[in-house]
Order: sequence, then structure tokens, then C-alpha cells
Amino acid sequence: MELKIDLPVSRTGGFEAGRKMTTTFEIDKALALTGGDHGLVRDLVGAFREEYPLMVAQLATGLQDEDIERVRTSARSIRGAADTVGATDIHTTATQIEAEAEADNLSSAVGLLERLRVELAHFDAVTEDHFGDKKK
Amino acid sequence: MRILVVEDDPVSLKLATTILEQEGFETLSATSGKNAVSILEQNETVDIVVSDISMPVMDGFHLLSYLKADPRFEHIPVILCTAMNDEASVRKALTLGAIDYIVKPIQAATLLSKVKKVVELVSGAILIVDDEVLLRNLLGNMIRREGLKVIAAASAEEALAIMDKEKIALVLSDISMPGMNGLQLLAVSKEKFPSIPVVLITGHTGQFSRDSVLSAGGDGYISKPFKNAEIMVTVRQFIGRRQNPAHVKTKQSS
Repeated sequence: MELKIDLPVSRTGGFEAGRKMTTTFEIDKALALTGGDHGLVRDLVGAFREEYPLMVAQLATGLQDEDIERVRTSARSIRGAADTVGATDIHTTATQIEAEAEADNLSSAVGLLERLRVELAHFDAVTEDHFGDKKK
Repeated sequence: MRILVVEDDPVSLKLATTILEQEGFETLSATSGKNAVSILEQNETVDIVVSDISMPVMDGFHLLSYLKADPRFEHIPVILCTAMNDEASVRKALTLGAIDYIVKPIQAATLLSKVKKVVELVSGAILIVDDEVLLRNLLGNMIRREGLKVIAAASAEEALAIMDKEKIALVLSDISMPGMNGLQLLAVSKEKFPSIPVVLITGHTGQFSRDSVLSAGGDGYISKPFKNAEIMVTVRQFIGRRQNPAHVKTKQSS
């Protein structure tokens, strides 16, 4: 089962104005990893939503400082966590950022960071809708 | 059985520790190899380490090398987790001394299966000593269902012969038996195999009190009739803890 939600632009911080964005939360994938434990998926999603702002901040700082290692490690953390909670789009984007950092191509990574932020905002909305939780 | 999970990704860390705790394992968490070393240096008893490879500061390979080079920690089995499902990483992990590896993302079923396999490898068998075949079978089946190895003996004499040959993690023995009784078995066992914990089981609470068992050097005491859960709590308390005498001497309250 894939959960998708259309999100008004206002929830994306104005990124790509005028366009509705979608993101994906593959709950079946997360359920498969946890052995079908819906409560645990909910907890993991909560942990991800709590932790990703710091990871993204570290990623942004790494890009600002042109610190390739920091970009690479923070992107890898986001990738790993996103994979565990079935956040496929976020996982894909974080993987691309990690690859761009490894290729010393930080300008591309900057563009991907914006996409990542939008996908994270969508993930919040989708999971909030599914679990009925407001982000703390 | 205590497992140290080393993982810098908080979501994977939460997944692994939750899954392990749901199965009755005790967990410790570390967010880097350096953090893991610090926990071990504080004399925490750890039976298994499950560690990510890619971590800042001190990665999983370095942590593994560190543990295998230190006589205090070299016996601890290490399972490495990697997102790099390439032959070179796996070969490197096994060459450095990892007992097994897991390809990420961590799946509950895979993690549990690998950990239980290691538990079976590192823990000796549970030796059940009882002259009553029905009770031997009842206890044996209960413990085998938890995935643990069981050896049964019909007498204390047979048990001691088995202890000479087999790796035993815990002795669960009846007290009242023909020939040597459980207390006599306890005395000989503590002399010949002091590191093996012995828990005595009896229905004759008047004849053999809990205090008499504990003062004779017994590590625990269970009264009949016992509940299945009571037996398993006791078994879990002792298996895999033989390296640390402080745990072996833990007394079982009943």
C-alpha cells in the first residue's frame, strides 16, 4: 500500500510555486522491516520526524562550508533512516546527495537539498494524516 | 543476554533495540564505535555486539578490530550491519573476526534469526537433571521452544559425566533424586565447574529451604509447582553471562 497526499504549496515553504507536490510513504515496506508491527512503524516514523531536522541542518551546514565529508555522512544518515521508515523519495534524494558529494559535485547537492526539504514536508503531512499525530 | 547495538542512525537504532527487547534481550545503545568502546570500558557486561559499519569517528571495522585485539573483549561475538552488500565488505568483516553480518536496512526477522544463531553458538546447553522423565521432558520442551539447546540427565551422576564433556551454560536440577541429590550435585559442580550456575528445583520446601540452597552455593531456587515464565526468566538470567562472575553469583528470588 502506498500512501500519497496532495499538498498545497503553502506547506512546502513556497518551493516550486503554483505546483502541487506528492510524496510517498511506503508503509508496507516499513511494516515488512518491523515484522508487521504497526505500532513500531509509528514509533520509528515519530523518531525520524524528530531527528531529521538536525540531520538536514548538518547537511545544510556541510554544503555551506563545502565540507564534503559532512555532506556525505549526513546524507547517509538521512538515507538510512528514510529507508527504514519506507520514505522512498527521501531515500532516493539522500542517496543522490551522497553520490554528488562523493563526486565532489556540491552545486548539484544544493539543488537536491531543496527537493529533500519538500519531500520531508510531504512526508510529515502524509504520516500525520495516516497516524493522526502532530509533529512535536 | 545483553546486546550492545552500535548505530549512528537513530531510526535504525530504535528499530534494532525495540525488536531485540521485544524478544526478551536486554540492550545497550551506542551511537558510534567510540561510544561503544566507552560503554565496554565502564565494565558493562555485553554478550553480543551488533554494529553498523559506516559511522563517523570510529566505524564498525575499527570497532571490531579494537575488540578483537583486547583480551577483555575478544570473546564478544560481533555482528556487523552494512548497506554495502559487496563481497569485499563482507569478506573484510569476517576476516576481522565478525561472527556474521546483516545487510541493511535491518529487518526484524533477519536480525532476530542472526542473533539467535549467535546465542546458540556462544551459549552452552541447559542441563536438566531430574529423575522424573515427565518433568525432564516438560522442562526440556519449554526451553527448546525458546531456541536453546537442552541436554537431559536422569541423575546427578549422569549430569556430572555430561558436564565433563559438554559446554554447559546452566544446570537446572531437581533436589530430591535417588543416589546423589541436587545439593550434593551442587557441591561437586561448584568444586569442579565453579563458573557454571546451578539452579535447584524442588517441591519439598520443608526439607530443603531456599536459604539452604543459596547458602550451599546455589545460584537460584525454584519451587514446584513452577510457572513456565518463571523457568524462562531464570534461564534468560543466566545464559551467556558466564564470563562475568558478578552475574553468576546473582541470587534468584522466588
